[in-house]
Amino acid sequence: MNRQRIICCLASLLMGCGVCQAAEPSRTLDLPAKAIFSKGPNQWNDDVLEITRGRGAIIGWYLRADQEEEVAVAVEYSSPQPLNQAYQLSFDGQDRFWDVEPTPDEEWSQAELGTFRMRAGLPILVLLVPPSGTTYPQPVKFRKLIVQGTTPGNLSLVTNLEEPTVPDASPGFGRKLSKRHPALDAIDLRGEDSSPMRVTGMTMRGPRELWFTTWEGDLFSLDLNAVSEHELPPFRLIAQGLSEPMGLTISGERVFVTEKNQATELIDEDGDGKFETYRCLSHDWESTLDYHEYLFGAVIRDSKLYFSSSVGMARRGKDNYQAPLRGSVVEVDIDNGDTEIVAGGLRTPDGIGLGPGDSLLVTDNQGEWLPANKLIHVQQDAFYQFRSVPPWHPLDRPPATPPAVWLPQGEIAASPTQPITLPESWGPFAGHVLFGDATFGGLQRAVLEESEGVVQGAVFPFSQGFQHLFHRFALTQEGELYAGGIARGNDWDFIDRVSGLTRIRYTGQEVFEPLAARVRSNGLEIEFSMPLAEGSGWDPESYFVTQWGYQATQTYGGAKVRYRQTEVASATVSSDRRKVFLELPEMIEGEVVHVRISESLPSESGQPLWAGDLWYTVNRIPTGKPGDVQEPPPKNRLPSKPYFTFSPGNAGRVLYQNYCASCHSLDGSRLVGPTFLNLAGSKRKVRESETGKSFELQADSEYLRHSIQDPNALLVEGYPANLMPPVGGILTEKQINELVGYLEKLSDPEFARIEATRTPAVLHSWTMDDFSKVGERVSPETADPAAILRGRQAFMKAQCLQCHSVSGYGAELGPDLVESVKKFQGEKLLRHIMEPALEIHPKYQTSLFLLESGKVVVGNVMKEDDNAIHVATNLLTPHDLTIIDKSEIEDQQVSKNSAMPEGLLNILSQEEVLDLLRFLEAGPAPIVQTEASPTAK
Amino acid sequence: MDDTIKRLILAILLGVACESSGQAEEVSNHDLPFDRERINRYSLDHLPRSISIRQGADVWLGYDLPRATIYKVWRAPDGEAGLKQSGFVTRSVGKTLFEDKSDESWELRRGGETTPLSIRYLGCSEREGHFELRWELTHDADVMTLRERVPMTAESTATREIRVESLPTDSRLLLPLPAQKGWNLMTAEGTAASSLTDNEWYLLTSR
Repeated sequence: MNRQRIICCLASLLMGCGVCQAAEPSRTLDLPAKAIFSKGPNQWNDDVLEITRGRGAIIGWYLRADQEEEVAVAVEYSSPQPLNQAYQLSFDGQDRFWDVEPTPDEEWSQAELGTFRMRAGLPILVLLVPPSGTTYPQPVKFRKLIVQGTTPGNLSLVTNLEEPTVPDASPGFGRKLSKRHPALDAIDLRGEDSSPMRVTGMTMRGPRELWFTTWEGDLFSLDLNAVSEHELPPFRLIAQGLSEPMGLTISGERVFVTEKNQATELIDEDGDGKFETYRCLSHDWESTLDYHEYLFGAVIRDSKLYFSSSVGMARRGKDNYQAPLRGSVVEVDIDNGDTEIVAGGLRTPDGIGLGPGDSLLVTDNQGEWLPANKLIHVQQDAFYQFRSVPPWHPLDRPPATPPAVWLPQGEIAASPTQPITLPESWGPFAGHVLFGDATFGGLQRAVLEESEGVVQGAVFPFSQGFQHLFHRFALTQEGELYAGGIARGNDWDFIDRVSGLTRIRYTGQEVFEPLAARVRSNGLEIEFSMPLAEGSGWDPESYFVTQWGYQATQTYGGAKVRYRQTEVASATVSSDRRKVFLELPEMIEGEVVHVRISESLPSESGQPLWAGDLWYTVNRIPTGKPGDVQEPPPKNRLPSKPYFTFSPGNAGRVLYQNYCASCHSLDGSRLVGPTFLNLAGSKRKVRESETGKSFELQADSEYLRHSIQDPNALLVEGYPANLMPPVGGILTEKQINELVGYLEKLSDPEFARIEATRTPAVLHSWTMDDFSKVGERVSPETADPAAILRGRQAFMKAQCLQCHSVSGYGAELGPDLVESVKKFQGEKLLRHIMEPALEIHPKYQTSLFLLESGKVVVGNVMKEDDNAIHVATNLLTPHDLTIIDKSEIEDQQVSKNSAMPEGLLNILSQEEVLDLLRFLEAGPAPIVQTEASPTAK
Repeated sequence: MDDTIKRLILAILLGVACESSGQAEEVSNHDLPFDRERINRYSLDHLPRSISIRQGADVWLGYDLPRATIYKVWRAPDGEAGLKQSGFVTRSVGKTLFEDKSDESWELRRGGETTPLSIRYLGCSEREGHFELRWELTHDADVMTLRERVPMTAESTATREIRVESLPTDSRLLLPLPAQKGWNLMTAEGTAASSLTDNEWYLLTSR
């Protein structure tokens, strides 16, 4: 018997004799690093997590308290160096910032992080969040958080939080809609043979004249009486030289534009129809040269101009500096220019509009500090949680005000744009708020309500099936909706869409769909656009309901918190069969409730449901306002088939379609990223971005998981860093597992073939033999403008801008195409596209340097002198050079492979390939400001 | 949506390369004020808020709007553009004739005392033959309007006209120090001046 066993026996004996008491349950709970629910990209050393990177790291625990109490949180850590940014502790949404004090001689230390109120019963998420986008040369070593309560045994770690398995999806039911709403009639006012028109601001001037600004800085007028379904209307240029205008409004005869860094009034002083004066109405905030500093939208209310401003992006990975007052809703007096900040904490609020009761609505885009997209009902002096380093914003303070409606990323929004309230002429949709999306596309519909003074509501999928990605809107007095689009051009799903202008009319056709949702003390009431079939709607099983919260952190995006299926205790249909009350006993404030209505729910008229999803944001549950709960009638209709099916792999497919399909094919073709066909289990040659070392590995589940969580850590040969967004920050642990499982199943050829038919990518594997008649270079004078414009679309579709620039615009991974076309035309140009390794310019050859220290540097040689070689390891940041002392080089090799993949044209038709050539040969004209007219070439 | 926006902008910029065609536009660019061949309101060099004006064939005047002063005068290379554009930022290209990267600004001299002024940019106009910029200069209760006119054509290189309105009695408005050194200030009658002492137009020519 060893010593420990002897002690145990003695202790048992003594306890049994009542000599000593059992140890009292602890008041303290350790949250060990080993118990975090996601490891992220960092390294482990036994039970110590060594954190070197912020972005993608998810360090979190769920814990539970039996009873509410105050707890103090401390961290056990070691750090050899001070950090230039603070760690964030997010405790059930309450934030504390920790400036990491260095610990001498790598000793372990404890830092107090603050006290928090611990809710009872509910799993509480605690996140330790390193500074986003920052990589440190030496790790912060972390062993555990210590949560100190006051009640013995009150706190416990939750390790088995189950996420729901979602039902199979179809358009409008768990997946994005694929068609236009049946009650909408649309015509495009910009044809395929027209120049692109990127609409950035829109307003009505009088009843029948539409004015709109474009990204190029022009202001156009359109006489709506000239709009017809048979020919394209003329546009009249009425002003120019605006600087990135993103908002336009008219008040009486006065015209206001929000530009890059000022609010401007356009004035025609002499009444000659030309705006000769651009009055600076306001610029009472700092500006920098950050490309992402915009002013969005323009709304007039009571002689005040309102717009929003975005934060910068350039320094978020360095020190997270923001120019003061960025990310605000701004109010400017249109008479004297007096400027006030209405609200702060916004990120990319690319849409402002008037909501019900002339309230201000703003949309914001998911990213740092935004775990999902938002529709915000603007409150005076509210703070919406995007944070920066001080001094930044006077309203940067906890707690943050929640949005009126959360818009889950990839499910109902991705880049929401201007909200607009529908007029009476839109029948059942009057008072509803429509908004567009510059990535997700289509129109989404939100319905707001006030619950005990707090505005909240639901968002519904409304319509897809448009050519343009809508950015700005204007309504005529008759209720015609003019929608201006702005093309993105990099998303496979939207590749055939272009910028431009669309007229949308509501036809009044009755469509069966959920119309509105209203919160009650005990659940959610759903209103339908027409009566349900008699006896239907009563079965709680016909509603699949989940709920979750969001927790904002300084890292990109955020997963659903406490994502779980919710019990539907009962479903009660109203006497007119237009409403169903879902009794939801687990509904709590601060969470999103997602209701998925079964596709098989019938209407009285026999019409099928147009869409069955809705997301309701529960900010406030009213007291004493219960929904009506009744027993189902005896004639309760039973379904002929299950309400929902749960096919294996379906969840993974939906995740693939929502987050991956735009860049990864299923049929072997190469898009922006590697194909997923036969990816799982294959051998991959990868380069470790931090060390530059290349090696081969097997794409097992661990690798796939790692690639989702930290896309830049191991780069597949031929692919640059920073192309893939950090979707790992959006997906939950279970979702990542489902996606990985789906990818693994794609190694089954038959499964992959079936899946690929759902998302076809490759049209044909073209070779030079298919283009035997490619002729000489097309001259700009003889080129067919329509062919050139088709070629431009093909250029976008082939994703050329991902790597190439045009006259200095675009990525710099490959040569500037204007320069390339000077050297190669016709057959030679096509061959260089189809066989990229044919001839590689030295500037774009990848070199590998093995240094005496054993370190490997891979990159492009940008400069060389007698003593050193300057290497760009990432051409997306070509000015960040690694300088290699020549005396340290042990070996040097030049790759014969081109970084440009073959097969990029395989997603195009033969005609599109030829049009692409014409586009390249006939232009693209230099974008540089020249002495000659910019339209002369 | 940062990466999304970045990509969006790249896609947007591509389209700038495409020739404008198709539906009719009743007024051409050259007939409207603020033609970018003459006036560029994008950021210039290191200045987020600036404006560049072409005077004559090849001389450009770049303004630092928050300081209400000229930042740079340069001559474009023969047959080439004087501005190189990258997104919303333009770079001056050519031979520098005058440059002021200092923080010096306008001052008010009264009774032997010199006081700095708060500056607010008010806007600009393109009118027949000239381009005009306006600022508000403030000290305590004194509010002045500074106007600057740039003739679109000029006989001598880089010519400007300035005028201050509502100048307080017994006061003089002093140009920023680099402007005092780099420009000749004259009254409308051609008399050399060192500061603005009345509400008349003054002429500035580069030295």
